[in-house]
Amino acid sequence: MKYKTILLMCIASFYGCSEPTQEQSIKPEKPTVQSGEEIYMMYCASCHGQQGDGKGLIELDRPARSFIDGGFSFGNTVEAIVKTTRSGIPGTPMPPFAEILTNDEIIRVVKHVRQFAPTLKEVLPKDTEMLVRERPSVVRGMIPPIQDGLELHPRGLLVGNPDGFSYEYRVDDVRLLAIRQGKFVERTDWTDRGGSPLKPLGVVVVLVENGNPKGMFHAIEGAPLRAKLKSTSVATPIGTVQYDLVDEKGELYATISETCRPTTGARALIEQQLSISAIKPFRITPPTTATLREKTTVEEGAHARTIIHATLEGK
Amino acid sequence: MLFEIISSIVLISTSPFTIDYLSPPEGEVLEVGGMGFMSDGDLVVSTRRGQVWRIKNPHAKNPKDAVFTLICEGLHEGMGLAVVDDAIFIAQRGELSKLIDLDGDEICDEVQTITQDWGMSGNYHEFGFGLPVDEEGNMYVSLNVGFWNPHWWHGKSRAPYRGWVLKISPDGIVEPFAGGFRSPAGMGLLENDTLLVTDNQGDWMPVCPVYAVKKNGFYGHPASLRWYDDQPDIEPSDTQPPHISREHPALWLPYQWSRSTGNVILDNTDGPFNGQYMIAELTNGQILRASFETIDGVMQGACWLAHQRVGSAYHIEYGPDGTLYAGITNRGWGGLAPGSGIARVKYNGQLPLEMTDAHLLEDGFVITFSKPLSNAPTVVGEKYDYNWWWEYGSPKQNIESLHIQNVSLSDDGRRATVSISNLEAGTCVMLILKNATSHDGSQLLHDELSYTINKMPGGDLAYVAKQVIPPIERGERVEGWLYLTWADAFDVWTNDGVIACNAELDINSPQQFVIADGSNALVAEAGKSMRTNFKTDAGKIKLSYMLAEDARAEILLPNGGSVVLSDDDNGGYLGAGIWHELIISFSNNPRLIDAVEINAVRMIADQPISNQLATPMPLTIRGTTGSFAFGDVRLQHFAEEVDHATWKPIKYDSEHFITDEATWNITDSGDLVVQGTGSVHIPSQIEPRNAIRFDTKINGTGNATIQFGDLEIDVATSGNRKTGGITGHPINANLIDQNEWCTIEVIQNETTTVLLNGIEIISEKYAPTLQGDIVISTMNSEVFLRGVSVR
Repeated sequence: MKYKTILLMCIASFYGCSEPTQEQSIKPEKPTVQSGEEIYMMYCASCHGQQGDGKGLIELDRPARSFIDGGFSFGNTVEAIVKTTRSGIPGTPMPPFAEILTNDEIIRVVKHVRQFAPTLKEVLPKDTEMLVRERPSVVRGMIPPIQDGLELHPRGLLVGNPDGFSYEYRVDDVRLLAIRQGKFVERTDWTDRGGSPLKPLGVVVVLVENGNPKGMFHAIEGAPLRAKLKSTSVATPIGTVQYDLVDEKGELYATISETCRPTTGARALIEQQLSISAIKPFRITPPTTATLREKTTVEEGAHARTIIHATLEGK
Repeated sequence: MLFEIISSIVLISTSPFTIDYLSPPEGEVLEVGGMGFMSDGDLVVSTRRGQVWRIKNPHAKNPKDAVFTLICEGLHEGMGLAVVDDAIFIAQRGELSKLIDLDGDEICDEVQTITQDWGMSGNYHEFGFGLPVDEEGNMYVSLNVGFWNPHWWHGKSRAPYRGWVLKISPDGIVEPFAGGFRSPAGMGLLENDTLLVTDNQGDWMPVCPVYAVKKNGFYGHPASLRWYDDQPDIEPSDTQPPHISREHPALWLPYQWSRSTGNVILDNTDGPFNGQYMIAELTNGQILRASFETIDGVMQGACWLAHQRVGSAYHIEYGPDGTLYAGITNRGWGGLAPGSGIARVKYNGQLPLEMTDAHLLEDGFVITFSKPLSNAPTVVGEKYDYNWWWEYGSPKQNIESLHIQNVSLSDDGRRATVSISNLEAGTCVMLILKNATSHDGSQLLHDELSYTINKMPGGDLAYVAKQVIPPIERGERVEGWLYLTWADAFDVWTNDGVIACNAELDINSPQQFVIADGSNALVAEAGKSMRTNFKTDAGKIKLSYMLAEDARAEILLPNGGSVVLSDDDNGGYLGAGIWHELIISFSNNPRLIDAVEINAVRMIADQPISNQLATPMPLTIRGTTGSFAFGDVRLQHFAEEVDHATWKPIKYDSEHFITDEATWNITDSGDLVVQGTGSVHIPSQIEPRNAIRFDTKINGTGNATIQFGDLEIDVATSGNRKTGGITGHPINANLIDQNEWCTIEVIQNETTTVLLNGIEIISEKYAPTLQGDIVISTMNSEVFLRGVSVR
């Protein structure tokens, strides 16, 4: 047996260190319950300004943050600002308030500070970024909510084309959610155990029906048709998403190959082109934020339809 | 004691199996999920990063000569792959797909969806695994349950067929096949096309099982019951066992052999184990071997260790040349190095001496050997069972020695009959064969055999995993654990040279670790140590550790005792580079090491301590020889009874609560719960006090404080001040887990002392008044308070 009790005489010195002495910490007198605004005026406004614009009365070597511009050193959630307020920012005039204010007071003042600030900031991408090179790229994964209040889509995909545009789909019922421009995607699910959503990196230039579009396809008599993913292809210069339109019973109405591309017109428009092979007639209702170039009814046979999306601010 | 008998014997056999590793292109990390072979011998591999690689020349003599080509990327994980008539199929997290090469350049141009017909809620743990193909071309996909905070230990099925195995026909029709699974990470097929499914130890899975799956069978984890036609579609109880018949696994794999089981494959090679099954094991980085038999219609069988020190093998396949390929991954899960890539296990043709079969008799076993023995071996053994409960895994229960009456050898020396008088259904047995030598002088390569007895011949069926009274739900009692190395690993320690890093065994130089930036391990090289800043006397210590080859380390206990850990250890110790769980119980009156367990194997018991050192002392962990890694150090203080006569409870008068945005309620059992972001003020008119104690716990991503007069106590598992810290003396270590009750006691004289679960973690010359309101402030959390009393 390797496990044995041994005499510890030889290591007695190991335990011999004296406890470090604790310095007495002094807690300032605190007034009774104050509102966040009152606390802000007392402790923060002298540097950050009464309006949170960084224009306080005290002159500093490094100007204080303007909260109005969204300037937060370590993130702008309430949680992050509480953390910064408690611990301060070493190397700057921003002191730690953990000793001065109670947690309750810090939360109240942070809520007040947070009101000055605009929207949330992006986190920097890490080394899990995927790029589109000369070939299009299709990436499957979870699609996070595009904006507050929207759902995560456990099944989704991104089509990234070499021209720098990418197209964000949910694919349990294939629907284009958004069009982006710029960088492609960060695979956050390559870290830790995985299972996290994709992080599309492009700037949203089209948000289809606020990112939550209704299904576009209906049988002539009005029943909704589901767009069931059939394949994705990167064989062509731009990525293709193919799907079957089926009714509730699974009966096939049509097979559609969909590609998207920007037009070259003065005002940037994106065309969502549907190449349709229909077995049964059906109707297309374009998203409220887009227009359908041709007629809404699709008869049996081979047809083409184009849905036109205007980019935000006509970029 | 069983393991004392065996520890004196040394094995000298060498393995005829060699292990080497293919070399992926520079910078690429292959986290293998699935493997298959093309008709031209190319190996195709899918990965957790959603890539598919085609590897030419995988059997090359020099592993560097194998050529890797990325043929597909952008998939949503590839935890299963099948090659059918040279078409490649991938089990993605949410889709079964076929890869299409349109122009013959072997690069995938199109990903065709075969089906997406199973549910996903978006939970991280909802992995989808695959992909066996039966004779009729049906494919099988297995689906994990999800884990949600804060009760992450209760697996949930929140979308259809989570916790099920699906059978998918060649035309994409999905048939829910069987349920009751938890994390069925590996599958396989018996020769007769019966589906095999392995699961991973956790809730309702006492250890890792191998099931031979019947259609509509229920395999033990209740979450997925809601998707059975004859069951109500409600979320089943997390803690109460369902009243429904469970199927028996063919094997319960011993915990010391398998902690995260992968797939099962038939050995169809010309090697010594033809017709048997190989099982991938990730955490311990090895491959097990099994043989099954049917006793009165019930499948059960034997298993052995086959190949050790392979790396974190998740998926194994035999190549056309008879080489066993192991696809490796352990990202986020942990396991023996290497943690990614592809290993090759090759047989040199020198027949080893191994047990090749075990057949259960009414009063024993017939064990077959790969070559004749010269004499009957000596056999010792034990039997045990497990608890089927919601707790994470089960220790062995009801351990009893086997009464071995006789061991006889057949005339040809190939079979030993072991007579045992106390075998019974509903147990696993572990037999150890000693002095087994073949005529050519070789000794058994692996001398342990595990057999799962669901049924004795002619007898009744019995569950090895017994239904028991459910333990108290976690979080309903004060567990008393302090997690000494969570968050800031050194905060409550005085550190003398221990470093926080990622460490795994250097496979090229196994007397050391490969160290990388990270925080998976604390590494103490020889002479380096850390000791707690507090002292205690009696309790329990739990930690994980890993030794490099020939390394030693020492745990100096707070009661003056010492435990030496060595790479020479036996029993539960599995070898260098493998993480082990160590539990030490120690007491102070009398001074004893009550017990030491490694990987749940009892190593010593009731060992008196002979030195005269003054206790209590700190806990010290130090490396003494070579390289030692450890982590997740936990300490539980054996608390004394609380003298309720001296403590006066504070009663809440909720009518006078003042709330500021936070919400509160009082539970049936009287706990005050404050939720949200804001605070609750509890006016308090209590006389002067110099001690306060209470129980508290916290859920959620935020943090909270509880203020008594001017003293503010942190309750948090996130942020920069953690539970137990006070104004002026923050604690940065996350000593208490989320959703775990703890007891905090503050005693004030000229100093303020904080005892967390009975251990003095703070003593400082700072004495703010404890008089005044109680204020509970929370940010994005749910904080519980009960039993506030003063003295």
